[in-house]
Amino acid sequence: MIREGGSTLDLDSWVPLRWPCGPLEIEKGKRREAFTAREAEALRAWAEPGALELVAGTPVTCLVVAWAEGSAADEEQRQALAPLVASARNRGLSVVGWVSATADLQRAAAAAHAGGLAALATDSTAPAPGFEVLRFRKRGFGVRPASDFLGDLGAVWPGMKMDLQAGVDAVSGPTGAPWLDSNGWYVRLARSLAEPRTLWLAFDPPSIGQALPATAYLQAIADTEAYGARWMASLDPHLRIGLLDRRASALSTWATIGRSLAFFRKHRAWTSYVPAGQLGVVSDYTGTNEFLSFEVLNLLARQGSLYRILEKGTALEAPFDGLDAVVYVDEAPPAGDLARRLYAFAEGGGTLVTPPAWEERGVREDDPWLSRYRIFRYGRGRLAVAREEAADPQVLAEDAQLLMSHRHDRLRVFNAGTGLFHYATSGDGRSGVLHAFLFPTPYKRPPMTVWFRQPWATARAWMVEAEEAAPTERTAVEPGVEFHLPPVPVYCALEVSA
Amino acid sequence: MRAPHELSRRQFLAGSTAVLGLGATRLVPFARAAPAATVSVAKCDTYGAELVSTLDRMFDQLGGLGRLVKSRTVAVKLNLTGPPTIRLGPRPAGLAHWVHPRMIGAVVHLMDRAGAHRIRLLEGGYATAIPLEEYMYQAGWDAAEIVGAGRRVELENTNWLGLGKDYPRFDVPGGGLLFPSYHLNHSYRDCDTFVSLTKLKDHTTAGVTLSMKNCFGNIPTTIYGDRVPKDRPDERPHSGRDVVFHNGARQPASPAAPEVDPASPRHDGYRIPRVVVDICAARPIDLGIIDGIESIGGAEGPWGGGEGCHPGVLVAGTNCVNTDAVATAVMGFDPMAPAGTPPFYACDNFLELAEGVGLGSRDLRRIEVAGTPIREARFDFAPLIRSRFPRHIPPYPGEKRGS
Repeated sequence: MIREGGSTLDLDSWVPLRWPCGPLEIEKGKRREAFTAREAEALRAWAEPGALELVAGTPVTCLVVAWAEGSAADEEQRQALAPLVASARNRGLSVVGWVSATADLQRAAAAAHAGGLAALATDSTAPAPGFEVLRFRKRGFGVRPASDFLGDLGAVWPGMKMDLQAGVDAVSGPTGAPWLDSNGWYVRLARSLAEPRTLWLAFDPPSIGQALPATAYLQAIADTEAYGARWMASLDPHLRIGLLDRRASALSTWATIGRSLAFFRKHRAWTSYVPAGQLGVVSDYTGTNEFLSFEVLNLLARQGSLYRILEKGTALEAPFDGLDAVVYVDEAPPAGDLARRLYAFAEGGGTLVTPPAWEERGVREDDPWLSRYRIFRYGRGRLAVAREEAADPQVLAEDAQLLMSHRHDRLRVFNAGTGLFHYATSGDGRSGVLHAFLFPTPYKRPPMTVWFRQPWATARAWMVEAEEAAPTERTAVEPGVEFHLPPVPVYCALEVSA
Repeated sequence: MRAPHELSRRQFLAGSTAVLGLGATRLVPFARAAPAATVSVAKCDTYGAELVSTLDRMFDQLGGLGRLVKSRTVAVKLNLTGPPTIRLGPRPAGLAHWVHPRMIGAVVHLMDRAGAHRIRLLEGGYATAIPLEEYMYQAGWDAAEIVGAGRRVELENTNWLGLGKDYPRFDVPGGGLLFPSYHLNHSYRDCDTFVSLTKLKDHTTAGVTLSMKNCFGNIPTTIYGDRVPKDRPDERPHSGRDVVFHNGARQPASPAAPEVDPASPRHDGYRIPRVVVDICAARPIDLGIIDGIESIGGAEGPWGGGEGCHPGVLVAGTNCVNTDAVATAVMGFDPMAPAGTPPFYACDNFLELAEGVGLGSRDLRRIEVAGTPIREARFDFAPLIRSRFPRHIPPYPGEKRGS
């Protein structure tokens, strides 16, 4: 009834929530030093069917519970959860059992089938024919996933690296700017290379000794959903205890989580939009090239560059339309056909950025600011050949952007403070969306301005906090158009149309 | 060829040793000898067609641009303070805290027409080493258009080593009020004429931002930045200048000299005015041009609050203290105002300090104003303090003043 590689479930419509409960979670908790009696109490309480009242009226459609980890408590867990699973099914919720790689997957699958679970989720690679298994794995594409579901275990908690308790004590990156964590670049890469129908990210809230603010959950949801993936939502223990105690702050955070999940359900069409890209990044994204290529994407996203992923194996056929520059990341040169295409791209007016030892063509025209490259005017474009192997992905990302030049920017965002942006357009080019993810500031947010080179006719600012989109003021400039937005607290989707 | 600033520098050298180490208020007698030169003031309502002709007329009132720039390499320090993606609400930076791009273009055009051999536009991009044209593009400016306003126009980000091989040292004549010398990007040495092209606006720490305060931005944060190594300049700028200059919590990186008196007050209201005077003495300004057509009032940039305003005025002069004194008066303030009074709410009056060391007079009775009289050009900035963000800083001058 179930096949590995093609799910019979409508996973894309599921909204999963980790539902920690039962003896197995208590046993795991006891292995932690800071585990408290209240946490244990909360884990027991969430095993009760009555706890499901919490998800009533929310977008959550799927609960992910601990199912097996290969310990003596596995059986006890299944028995303890039986009433919960039955009640969940009655409420129309799907229950997925998490099985650790240390457990016997086939036994767990048989028990899940008997217990009425909809599927298992696991990082195990063991086979489990006959039952739906959602496979989670570490990052990397050396081996492509066989299924149309991809679960990512390498995801990070999105946001500014900071002491959330202190509020503003940001950790700086190499540029002096605060260090931002995001999974967006990886989601884009995974969707580009593996093309899963459904992509779930598994990451837990950071432990800060108190409940995370509601905005942190909004960031986590937005950073995942805006790029077309789904977060297996996970609540911090303080929030779970707070919800048990019906504390106002916890209920408010929970309401924000629900609103955020609903917001992205409502705007699912955006995930079919194509990311705007003007800098092509060519790599095979595997093996020895993995670190550099992954980090270059991560850092391009962080510096606000609009990039397009070009996998080496398919780059020959990939459209280069709209690209101003291409950076070839891998150490090994491409096959002859691809090399010819890349040189032709430069000759036709683009900028080609290469590692050392590539054939130098055209008229030498070095830029004193970029002494790391030998630069040539080639045809109507430019060729930039690195003098040395790129060791620092940050430098390569910055250089690629500078070689392409901000002169050709498609998008500029003013007064966003520290933020990340994701700009995508519909297939017909008639509409687009700019997702703006902003990070905590101790200062009052000023109104934001977004400039697009494309002279969009209208723009509406969607925020999770409001049912309706906020109007924007449009100013035509030469070239392009500016839209002036009200202050954006944490996240905003600026929907533009022609 | 005599550099245009030579006369004032000689005058400065003649008097500065006598006043080293004295508090500003004790320098008044010396101030009587401070130079006074003509300052031009003109009403100019927009950055449109009237701009070039107005500036042209103003430069004529100062004796002609040719005597300052003909056959010379001219370095123009722009005022592009703060990151390029920050605006005062929806107002583009050029209509608020940055000198307007058309103002730059007009000045470049006139200098080119006056026979400048080369024009180099300079600014230390905030916490970055990216080329200045890229910095401008990020703000939404067309740098190519600015460069195209004249022949042989170059841009350089002077917040780091840039295109130089080293950081030349600029000694402060008389020993300096805060530091005895400053290490700067080569561009400030490799020019015959130095111009400060800036904005008419308030400044939270220094009172006003005019031609002199603009030159605080000459100082590279690879040496004077918050997190630079101790023993060498950083490769790239990573920060602002808060720690070394504003609060004095650390000394700059080697090879820069440590400050003259490490026991002096750490209050930025004491320190920043003195750095401003030092830097203008070490790298004298030959021409100050102040863009007051559209501006910000209440602060020097949106990070300090502020609100947009339209004074519709331009000020220019060859002596930076005279020029800034007149501009201060155009803003509705008294350039003779003591520390702790408007616009020097929380700082010493840098004009007073500059006058004290002989850089120029701030006494309006001694400065000839050509063009529009101050009373007709006046636009009161004082009410705009209402939009300044509150700062939790100790009052100034405090008990430690002059210690």
